[in-house]
Amino acid sequence: MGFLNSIGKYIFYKEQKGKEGFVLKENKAINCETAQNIASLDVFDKKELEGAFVGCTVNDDILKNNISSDIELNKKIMMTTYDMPKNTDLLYREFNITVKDKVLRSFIVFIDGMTDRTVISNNILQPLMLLSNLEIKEKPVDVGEFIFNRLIPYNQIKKVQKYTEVISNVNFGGCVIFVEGLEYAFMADTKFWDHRGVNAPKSETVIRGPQEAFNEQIRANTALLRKILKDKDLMIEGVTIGKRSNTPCAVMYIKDIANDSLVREVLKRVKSIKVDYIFDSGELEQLIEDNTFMAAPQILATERPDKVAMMLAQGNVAVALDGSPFVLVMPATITEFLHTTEDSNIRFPYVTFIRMIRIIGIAIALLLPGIYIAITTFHQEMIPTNLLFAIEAARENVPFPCVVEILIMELSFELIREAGIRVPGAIGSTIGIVGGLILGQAAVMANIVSPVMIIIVAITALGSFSVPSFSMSFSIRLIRFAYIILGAVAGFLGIALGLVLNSLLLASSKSFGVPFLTPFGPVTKDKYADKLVRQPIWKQEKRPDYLNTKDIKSQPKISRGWSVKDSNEKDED
Amino acid sequence: MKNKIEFGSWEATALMINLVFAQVMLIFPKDMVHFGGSAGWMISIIITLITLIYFTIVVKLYKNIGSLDLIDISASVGGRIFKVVVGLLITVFLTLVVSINLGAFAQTFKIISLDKSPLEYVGVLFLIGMLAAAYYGIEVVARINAFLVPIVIVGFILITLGAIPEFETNNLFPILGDGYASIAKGSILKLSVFSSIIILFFMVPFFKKQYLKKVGYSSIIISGLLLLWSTLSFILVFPYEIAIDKKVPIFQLARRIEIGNYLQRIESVFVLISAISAFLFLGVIFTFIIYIFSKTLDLKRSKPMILPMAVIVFSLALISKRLNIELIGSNALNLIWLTGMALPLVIIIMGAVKKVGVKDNGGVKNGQKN
Amino acid sequence: MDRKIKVISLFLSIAICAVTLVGCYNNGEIENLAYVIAIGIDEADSNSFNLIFQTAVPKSIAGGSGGGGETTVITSFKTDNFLSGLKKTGEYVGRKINLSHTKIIVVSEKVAKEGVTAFLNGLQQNMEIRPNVNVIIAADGAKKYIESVHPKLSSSPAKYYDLLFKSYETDFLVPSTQLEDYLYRAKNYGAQPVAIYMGIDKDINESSKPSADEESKKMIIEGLAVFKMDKMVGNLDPQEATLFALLTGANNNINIEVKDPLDDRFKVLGNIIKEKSSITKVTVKNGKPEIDINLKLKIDVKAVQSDNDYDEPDKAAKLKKAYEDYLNEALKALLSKATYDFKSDIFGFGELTKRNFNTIEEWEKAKWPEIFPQSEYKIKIDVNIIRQG
Repeated sequence: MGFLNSIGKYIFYKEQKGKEGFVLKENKAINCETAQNIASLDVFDKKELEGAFVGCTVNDDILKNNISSDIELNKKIMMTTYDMPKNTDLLYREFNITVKDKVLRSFIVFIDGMTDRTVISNNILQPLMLLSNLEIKEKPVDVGEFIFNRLIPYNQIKKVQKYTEVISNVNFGGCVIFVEGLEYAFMADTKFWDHRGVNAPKSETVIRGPQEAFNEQIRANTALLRKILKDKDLMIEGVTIGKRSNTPCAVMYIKDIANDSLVREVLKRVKSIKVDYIFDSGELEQLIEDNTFMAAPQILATERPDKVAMMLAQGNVAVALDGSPFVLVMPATITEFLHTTEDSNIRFPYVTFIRMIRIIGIAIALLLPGIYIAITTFHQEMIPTNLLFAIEAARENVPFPCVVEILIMELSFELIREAGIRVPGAIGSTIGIVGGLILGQAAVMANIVSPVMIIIVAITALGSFSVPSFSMSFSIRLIRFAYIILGAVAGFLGIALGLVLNSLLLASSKSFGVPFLTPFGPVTKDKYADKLVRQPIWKQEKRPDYLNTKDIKSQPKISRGWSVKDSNEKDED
Repeated sequence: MKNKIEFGSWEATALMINLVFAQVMLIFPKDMVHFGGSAGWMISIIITLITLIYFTIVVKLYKNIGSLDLIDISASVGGRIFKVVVGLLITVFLTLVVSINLGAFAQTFKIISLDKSPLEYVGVLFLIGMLAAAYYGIEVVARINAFLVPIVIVGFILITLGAIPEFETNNLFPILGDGYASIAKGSILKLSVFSSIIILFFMVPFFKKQYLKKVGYSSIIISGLLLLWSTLSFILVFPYEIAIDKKVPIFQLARRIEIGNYLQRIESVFVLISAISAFLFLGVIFTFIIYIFSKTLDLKRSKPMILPMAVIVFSLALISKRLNIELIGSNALNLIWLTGMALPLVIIIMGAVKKVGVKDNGGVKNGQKN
Repeated sequence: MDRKIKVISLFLSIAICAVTLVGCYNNGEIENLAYVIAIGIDEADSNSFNLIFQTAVPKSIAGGSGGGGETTVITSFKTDNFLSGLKKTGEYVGRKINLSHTKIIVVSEKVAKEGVTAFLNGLQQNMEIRPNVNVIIAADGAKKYIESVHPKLSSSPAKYYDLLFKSYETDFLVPSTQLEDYLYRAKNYGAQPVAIYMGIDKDINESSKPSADEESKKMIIEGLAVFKMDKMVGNLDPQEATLFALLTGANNNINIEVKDPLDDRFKVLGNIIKEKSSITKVTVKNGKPEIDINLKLKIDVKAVQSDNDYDEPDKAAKLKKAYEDYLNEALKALLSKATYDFKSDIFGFGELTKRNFNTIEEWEKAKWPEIFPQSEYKIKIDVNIIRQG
């Protein structure tokens, strides 16, 4: 029968039960006051507003008020603010405190999961509920003071006056204690949540040097910095960003090194950001950078505390945002994107060599495809005869012009790169196989590309991997396509045009008042001290000129005391 | 609305050197041979010396003038009308320079690398560079000169060093070439290679007057050495009889280089280097045209001027090519180019007599103008 | 900000237009060009020439095996000027001809004797062709020579030509045989042109040349062709050419044999190094050039067939004498051949004479080509035997 029925379903028409489809209706922000009093009012869209009370939040004006001594009112406000029984992770507990002979009603509110439960139980509830019964040899003058001084043996307690403060603290892992009859509340900082520990850096690995990276905790991050710098003058100024999220953010600098106006500018920019939520320092970077349309980054983002520390010591300003393992350092000039922290840890001849390699890598990543196109289409005479014949023979059966060929290859390489990042770990190995096949043997066998082209693309890729900064390498990958087009359009003349335009673009951009191409254009003093090549570490006596630091010298002329003969020693001899 | 333009003496020096050097890439060594035969290299020494003397006089005169450029000086000397006249004269002069050189560069690059493309196409490529330079303004242009010019010059020197095995000392003889008269004539006419020194007097307020001496002398001496070296190496490689037929001298020089079997064809690198030099040359002069023009007429915004001016320059360049005359080397034109040296001298003498902008009123006036 | 997007999009659209349009302008895709590696000029009836182009076939060159297909295509056309010949070849091959990788220009002896400058001028106007292309005069016609080249060692004929002249450099190849120098000499008085002279191989055992030519036993370098202005007037045999190189070039690696002074049956082979202090001076007295040639040579004895040990001082002195005598005689013969028979200043003494004049005008008045055949030579040769140990 079932079988017949199911056949019948296809043959006979059967009226379908109306299936309700969900429609995402427009939802206007509503004036809650009108909605609350809707019953008594006579407004145009009464019907709509009647059901809309759900979305109403507590009016900001109420929260701006001072805390009242009426505990019932406090309770009501807290309940409505957090919409409490509905909002499941918010916990609310009432209890009584005995002060002298009085019994005071009180309650605490905190968010489960963001707070340390044992701390709340042991250090807040336990003393308040039990200790208050003990005989204390002190005359309580003021109930609030008594509780603060004697009854809460917890280390981070402050008094708050306003509901807004209460709300923002509770949102960030605080535990608020309201006590009957007090016009303020106690705020205990009981933050505790699961987080990633300090791991090894993932995107900026070095061989010689510390292996710590920032994590998502702003306090942990600032602590990492303080741990490295150990300087009393290290300032970590707190700012919150986000109208709703109130994300903590720290602006860090060394008070007597960093230029005041630079610090002011950074603070000004950070404070002026008006967004609802902010999630990562990447967003912050885009919000405070000078020129959003330029292809090159203007703020250095790094996950290495030692790099940030080094740059702070040099006079830069850093901004850390809670929830982001990347700290922004500004201002950043072109050379900073080409350096790694390892550079100062290994001996200077090696660094000079490595930097040369890096610069060649960048030149290759940027120009090689364009130059290849330019040479093969315009300057064939430049290729050694035998190589020319080899290329020509290889390209004989390729149906596309060189430009199309290289664009296909570059694009498919970018595709593999992107896919390689997105691919789930479980099938990660497939990307290698697929990519290897596409870019490798098969494409050549099918005469879609010539083998020389694969070499070109591969070397270009290697070059772009040698750029230390992720953001910079992105920018190079993008600009590369412009060079390919220019090379195809006008050969070396086009490449030259590209170089001039690119230089103009870079030279015109500034990062927090510092021209991006410093120290090459404009030329600054000691221009090549630690920029292209590196000098021995004892020769690096000055902080970068372009940062206009308060303290110019980072070490005295003779930093290696032993290299000068001690006068006392001489006498003894 | 305009930020105060400022750059260091290094930028200014590099910029000035390139203004002379770009002409080496074009035709200069060939002209030397044209006038001096095997003694062409002497002309480059003579014109450098003449320019040095000229500049010494100017520096002496500048002692009586504040940190002002030519427009400021002429405004202080002869009032508004004189300023406009001088400004327009200089604008016209520079427009002529830039358009004829644009035509020449386009022609050159058509010969050496884009032989199948029409002239207009090559010209437009240069025009894009000029437009971009003018769009970003003097400061940025000066900055890119600071690091691109050294690269260009190092590249040029490497090319010529590669040609050293091809040097033939016999080519320097007869030692006096075409004779004294011809050398003297050539020295006066080819003084025009330094005509772009006029730009230097517009940069005075940017790099502060006390550096004028340093910038002027170092740029003249370095570019003089480059002129000498380019001519010398050209003559040493090519006997004067064939040198005179070479269209793009340094390019031809680069063609002779052979470093092993694998690296035989350096001349394409020359294309790259000379193209950068040409872009900088045209970009700098064009940017200054816009700057001078808007300053002359007290225009608040100079950017709207860029496109119309570019159209004028481009049309002039094409017309100059259509006329089918070898304009770039012609004697009449060489004399016109000398305006670039004569005009500043006249204005500076007038300024020096009137002592404009010294100390008390100088700074204030300058500030207002900017 | 909005304007910036506009600017960027404008630039992009220009770029895209340019990319699409550039196809019309420069159809220069690397595989769409035919690369000529050798150009030949042969005589034909009446006023025209036979123009020969040897074009590389990259596929079979890169294929490597050599046995596969012909590595080059040789096409020839009857034409009266170079440009039309070039065009015709392009039509025939079906591709645009590119001369940037041309290695040699071969001219048949008959054509050379008529004068070929007009033809080569057309070549030089072409920016593509390299100034260092070698000019070869083939005794039996250019086509025959080009066809005879079948390199076995290297699959690429271009490489063959490259190496061929590199290997001869040790003996007597001089830079003056390159196109630009050739043209300069052909048009001016300071020196007269020479070119490489190729003949049919008659006596391969006579010379101790490297193995490259054993591959192609048909043609062999027979010395240098001597020109007066643009007309060929004669040729130098390999020994003479070697001396020519010794006299003019800066080449420091020339092998010369002499008879063993102690044993007539054998020969001694020495490597001759010209010292920097060798000076040639020209003075013009009463319209007669006097040429002082002062050669200082070092000889490194390479091979001795007999049992004599030339490291011994007295024997070395004998060898020195032998070398000096031989060189003196041979040089005199060469100089008189060039000066009095050919009346052609291939040595470039004219260039040296320029030093005696102050201005170009004076030099031109001296009329060097007319006074050169009256030159008198003073030769002084100083040989030093480098002894081992």
